[in-house]
Amino acid sequence: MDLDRLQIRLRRRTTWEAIDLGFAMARRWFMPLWLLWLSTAVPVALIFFLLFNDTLWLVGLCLWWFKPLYEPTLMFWLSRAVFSETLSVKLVMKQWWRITRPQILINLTLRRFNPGRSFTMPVALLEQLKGKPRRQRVQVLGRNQHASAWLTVVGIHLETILQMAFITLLFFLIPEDLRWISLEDMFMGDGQIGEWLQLAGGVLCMSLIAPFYVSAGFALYLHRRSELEGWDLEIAFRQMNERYQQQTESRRSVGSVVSALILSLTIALVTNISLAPAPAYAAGMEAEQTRNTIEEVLADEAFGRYEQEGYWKYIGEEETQEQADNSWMPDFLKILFRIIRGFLEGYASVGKILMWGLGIAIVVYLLYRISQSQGWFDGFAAGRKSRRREQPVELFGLDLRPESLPDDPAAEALKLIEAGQLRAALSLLYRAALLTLINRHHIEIPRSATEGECVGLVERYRSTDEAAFFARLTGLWLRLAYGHQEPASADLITLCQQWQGVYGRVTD
Amino acid sequence: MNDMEQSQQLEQVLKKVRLLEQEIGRAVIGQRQVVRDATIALLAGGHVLVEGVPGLGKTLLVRSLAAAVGGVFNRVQFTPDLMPSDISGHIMFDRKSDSFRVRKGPVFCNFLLADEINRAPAKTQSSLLEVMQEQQVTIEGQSFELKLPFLVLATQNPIEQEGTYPLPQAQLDRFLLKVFIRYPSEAEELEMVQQITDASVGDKLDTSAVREVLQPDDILNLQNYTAQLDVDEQIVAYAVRIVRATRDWSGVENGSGPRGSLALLRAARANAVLEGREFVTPDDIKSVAPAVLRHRLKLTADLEIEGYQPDDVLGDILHNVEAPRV
Repeated sequence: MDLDRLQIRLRRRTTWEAIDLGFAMARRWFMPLWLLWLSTAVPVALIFFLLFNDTLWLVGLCLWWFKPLYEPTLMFWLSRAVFSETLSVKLVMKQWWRITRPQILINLTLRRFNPGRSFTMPVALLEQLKGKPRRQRVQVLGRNQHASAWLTVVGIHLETILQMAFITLLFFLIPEDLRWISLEDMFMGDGQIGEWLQLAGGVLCMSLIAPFYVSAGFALYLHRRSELEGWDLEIAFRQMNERYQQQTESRRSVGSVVSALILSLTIALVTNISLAPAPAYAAGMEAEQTRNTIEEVLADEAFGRYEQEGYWKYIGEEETQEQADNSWMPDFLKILFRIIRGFLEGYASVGKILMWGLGIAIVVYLLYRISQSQGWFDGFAAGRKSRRREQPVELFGLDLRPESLPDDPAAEALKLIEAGQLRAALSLLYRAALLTLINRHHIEIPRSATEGECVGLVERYRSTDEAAFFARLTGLWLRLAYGHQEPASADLITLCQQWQGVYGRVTD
Repeated sequence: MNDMEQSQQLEQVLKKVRLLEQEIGRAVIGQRQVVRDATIALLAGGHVLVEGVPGLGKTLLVRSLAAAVGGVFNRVQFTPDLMPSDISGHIMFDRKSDSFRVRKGPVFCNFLLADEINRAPAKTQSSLLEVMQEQQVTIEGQSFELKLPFLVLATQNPIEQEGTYPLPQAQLDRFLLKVFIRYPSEAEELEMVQQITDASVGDKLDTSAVREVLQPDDILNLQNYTAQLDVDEQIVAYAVRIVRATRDWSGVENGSGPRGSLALLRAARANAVLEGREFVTPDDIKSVAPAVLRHRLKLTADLEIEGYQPDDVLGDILHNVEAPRV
C-alpha cells in the first residue's frame, strides 16, 4: 500500500463526509463499477430465471438475496483504483471466483442482513481476515460507527423509490387509451406484466445503487483506517518532509537543518511510522533539550486546539451494590422489573430461534424449488418445451392438465355412461377436447373465451369434420352446464365412437 | 313442464318471432343486426335508442315494427320548443261540461317513436323518465297506467350536435339498448332504391307491405316466456363481473350501474330465445353486452378527444373479463 499514490485526499472528516467522498468516487468510476456489477448479476439473474421462470417474484427475491455475490468485485476494483491502479473489467472478472469465494456462504446467510455490510466487507476481502481476528478487527473499526447502517437504510429506501418510480414512469408512458392495467395492479396485481416490470426495475435500480453503496462503504472503511492509523498525518508529514528536504538541498543553510531536525523528531514522536530522523540530528541533541523543543512546538497556536467528544459509556455499578442502592425501591417493583427483564430475554431467545427457523425454512424451500426444476438440466430446449406443455391449464373451471385425463378419454367416458354418470362422461370428453386443442394443436384460448368462441376458433383453424364434432360436443355441454339438461346416452355414445377418429388418444 | 313441452313452446315462440322479423324485413332492407336488436328489446320489454345519420331508416324501422305488431303507434318529433306536457298530456278545462278533463299525450300508446330526441331540452326529455321506467304517467298528481306492451324507440343523429341537448345519464340508463344503424351494403342499398322508387311518388315511408302478424297480447306472452327463461348463477355472475369491470376500467370515467347488470341479463334472455335455446349461455351475454352497455359508459376526456368510442373500451373489457367457470 503506497499512500503516495492515493487518488483521494485524506483529511479528517465526519462519517457523513466520508460517505460523500464515496459517492464522489462512485460518480467518477461509475461505468466500470456498473459493468462489474452487471457482469456478475446478469448471469446470476439468468440462472435464477431458468430455475424459477414460472414464479418471477422468487427470481427477484433470489436476485436481491444474492447481492453479496456481486459486490466484492466492485470493492476489489475500488481498492486498486484509489491507489492509482485502474484494472480492466475483464481482468477483474477473470479473478471473479478468487475475489468472491472467501466467506461466500457466510456472506450470503448470516451476514446478509448485516446493515454495515459494505463497511465490513473490506476486512474479509482486502485484509483477508476471518474468524476471531476478523471479529476483533470489525469491533475496533466499528466502534461508534453508525453511518454504515444508515447508508444501508437509505440505500434500501432509495432503491425501492427508484423501482416504484421506474414502474410509474413506464405506466405514464403508456398512452391512456392503451392502458389495459391500473397503476395499482402494476405494483400489486397478479399477472406477468407487473412481475416482469418489478424484476426489470429491480435489476436496474440495484445496479444503479450498488456502485454508490459499495463506494460509500469503502470510503467509510478508508476514513476509519485513516483515523485509527493516522494516514492523513503520515501523508502530510511525508509531504512536509519532502518539501524541507528539497529546501535543504537547495539552500543548504544552517537554519533549515534545525527546522528539519525538529520536524523529523516530531514525526517520530507523533506518528508510529518508520520515518526516523537522520541519525546525525538525533545524536546532536540531548533528551531534555528535545523535550523542551517539542513542548515549545506544541505550545504554538497551531497545536493549541483541544477537542471534546462525548459518547455513551456504561458506568453502572455491580449488581450487589445496585441492590443496595435501590433498597428504597419497593420489593414488588423489583420483582416486576425482574419479570419484565426475564420476559424480554425470553422473547429475544424466541426471536433468535424464529429467525434461525425462518432462515432454515427459506434455504430448504430454495433447495426444494431447485430439486423441482431438475428437468431443466436434462436439456434446455426439451425441458422448456415439455414444461410449456405441462403447465397447468384451467378453462371454464375444467382441469386441463394432461395427467388429470385418462389415456383414452372415449373409453373412460363410455364406462362412465354405462355407470349412468352422464355429466362426468360429457365433462371428460369436453375437457379432453379442449386439452387436445390447447396442447396438441396449439390453439390459444384466452380466459375470456366463451364456449361459442371456442367453437369459432376450431372452425377457423381445424378441419370441417373436427369443427362439426366439436360444435356437437359443445352444444351438449352447454345444454348440460347452463340449461341443466342431461344429454341422451345415445348422443354421448355416438360422440365416444367418433372420438377416436377425430382426436385419438390424449397422449398421442 | 317436461323437455318436450318446453321444446314445443320454444318452437311456437320462435315461429312468431321469426315471422315478426320477416315482416319488418319487408320494409327495412338489410340492417339485420338493428332489426335483431329491436326484436331483443321487444322481447325483453326494454326501450331502444337508435343512433345513426339521417336517411338510414330509423323511423321506418319503428313504423314497420308497429305495423307488424298491430299496436297503437305514436310519433313525436322532438323540437327545442317541445314541452313535457306535449308528450305526457295535461289537464284542460272543458267549457262544454264545465269541468277539467285529462288530455292524454302521445305517450299513451304501445310504440312511441321519439324522433331526434336530443333536439328537445332536458326537461322535455325527462318527461319520459317515469313512463319508461314504470309504464305510468302522472298528470297533475294523478297516475295513469299505460297499456302494455310499451316500447319507446328514440332516435338521435350523431353528427349534427349544434342546437341539441345530449341525453342525461339518467335518461340514457332507461334505454335497454343503444343501437347503431349504419350505412347499408351496396346490394342492400340497390334493392332498397329499386323497391322504394318503383311506382311511388315522392319518398314517403312505405310500410304497406308489412302485414300485422302479431297482436299486443302475443308480445306480452313472448315477454313472459322470455322472462321465465333459465339462467344459471354462473351466467348472472358473469354479467355482474362485466358490469363491475366497467366501473374500474382505465379510460372510463363513469361505469354502468346495477341497472346495467339487470339489462344485460334481460337482453341475454331475449337473445337466447332468438337463438332457439331455453337457457342462457355466456355467448348470449357477450353478444348483447355492447348494445346494452355502450350508452352507460362515460369515457374520460382524453379518450374522447382521441376519438375512442365506448365500443372500443367494451371490446377490451369483454376480452379481459374471465368467462364463466362451471
